[in-house]
Amino acid sequence: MWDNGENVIIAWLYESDSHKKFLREFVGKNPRQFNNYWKNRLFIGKAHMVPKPFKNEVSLIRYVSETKGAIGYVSSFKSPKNVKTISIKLGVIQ
Amino acid sequence: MKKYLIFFIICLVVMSCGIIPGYAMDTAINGFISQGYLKTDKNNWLAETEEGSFEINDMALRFSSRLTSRLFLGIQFYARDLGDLGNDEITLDWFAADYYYNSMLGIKVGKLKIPHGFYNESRDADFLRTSIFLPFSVYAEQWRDSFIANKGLGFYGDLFRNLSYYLQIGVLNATPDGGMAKSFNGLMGATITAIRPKTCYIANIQYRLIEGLRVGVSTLNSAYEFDMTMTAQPYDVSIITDVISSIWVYSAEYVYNNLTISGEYERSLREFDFEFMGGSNRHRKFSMEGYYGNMEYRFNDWFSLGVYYSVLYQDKDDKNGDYLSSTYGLPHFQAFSKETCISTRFDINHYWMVKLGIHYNNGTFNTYILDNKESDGTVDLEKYWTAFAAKVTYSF
Repeated sequence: MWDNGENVIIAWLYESDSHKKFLREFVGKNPRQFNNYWKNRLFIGKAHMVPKPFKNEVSLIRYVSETKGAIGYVSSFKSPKNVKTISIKLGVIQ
Repeated sequence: MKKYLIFFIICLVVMSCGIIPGYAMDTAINGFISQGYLKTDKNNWLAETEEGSFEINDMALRFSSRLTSRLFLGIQFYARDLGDLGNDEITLDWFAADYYYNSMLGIKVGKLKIPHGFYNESRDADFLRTSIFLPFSVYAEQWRDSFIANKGLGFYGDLFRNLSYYLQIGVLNATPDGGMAKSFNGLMGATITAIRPKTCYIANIQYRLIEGLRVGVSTLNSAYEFDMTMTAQPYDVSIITDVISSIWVYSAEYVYNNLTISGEYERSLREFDFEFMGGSNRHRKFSMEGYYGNMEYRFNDWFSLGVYYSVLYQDKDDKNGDYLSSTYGLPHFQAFSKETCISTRFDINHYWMVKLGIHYNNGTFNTYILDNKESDGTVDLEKYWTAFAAKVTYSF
């Protein structure tokens, strides 16, 4: 939950290289472990929503811009508008 | 049953046709469907398995909605077939209203999954582990219907950074046609005609020592009143039985990259007060003892291998089964179950999974006596036996 009381809603790209790199670098899991972690929490009732998957970066960015509390990650080649961005290089947060 | 199976198959086809599963506005829909096969070389285990059986399947459909940023509603429908248990009857597996006050306190009301040991809450989601079945010593599949959920109230949260708790009070589910009753019926030559569960108290505390390593302790304290008719000699009477049960489980799990090592120890105190109609009373008190060690390794995205060794004694003071044999006329090896299980898991993709398992058994406590009785009433069980299990699961 964010400090303002809104739920954190995670958005991710379905089977993308940026998803795999992000998980490996910052979460320490591969996509299957990430998936199973959320499925586990879902089926034991410790999570009520799993991270939202999207097929492409355009729909992900649109969703994050329209949804309170949402956060996601895309490749640096995109320049998303109407959302706050944090640029991340492998091992470095800017 | 057929109409529900068709419904589930339609859901499965729709979900596979390019629609990303589990996403629908503020309502999440998830589930799984699985079909298994079980074959034993001796003894019937969970179903009529000496001839091979496909009566091993289950399915679940789960809905979860966010009403406000702190209030959630969830419900899960479940159906299973395990021999003559379940028979694909759709049940309301659990439902809960969940209010998240802060990280230290959340409140749940409804029919809540029981936090028994580390894995009871997720026992049906076998796509979360390598083996098809959890170790019998702590998670007896036959008794799932009595230990899966509790109607009542729960409190949960994180007290400190690495310490979490979950407390529940409520009533367990136990019916005369359930797995627990079937176990008692077979052991005592009785027929349970009614079960009246009383208030139960459950607590689960877990602590994360370091990244990947957690330990925990849980306890489940319950009581029941059984009405039963006993036909095994020298009895032929109706009985009311008070049963008190106090179960403690000590758990540890270590996850390092693709390796998972876990182990649990359970001690379960049972007290029976038999009140024979118009006759004498009898009191029996004993402790079940069980433990297992499990190791799983994921070699790559599609293949995992697991092995566990599980031991369960019906009475820790009668490990050889001498009292059981002399009192109930059963084989002495009915007093224990020692099981080695080797499992493989093949992940076809994010949704489909195939599992194979082989179970080497010494002892028959993990079988139903009623499934292994000849027409003349004699028990036909062998001490050493092997089971082969296979299962296909689709989850979304």
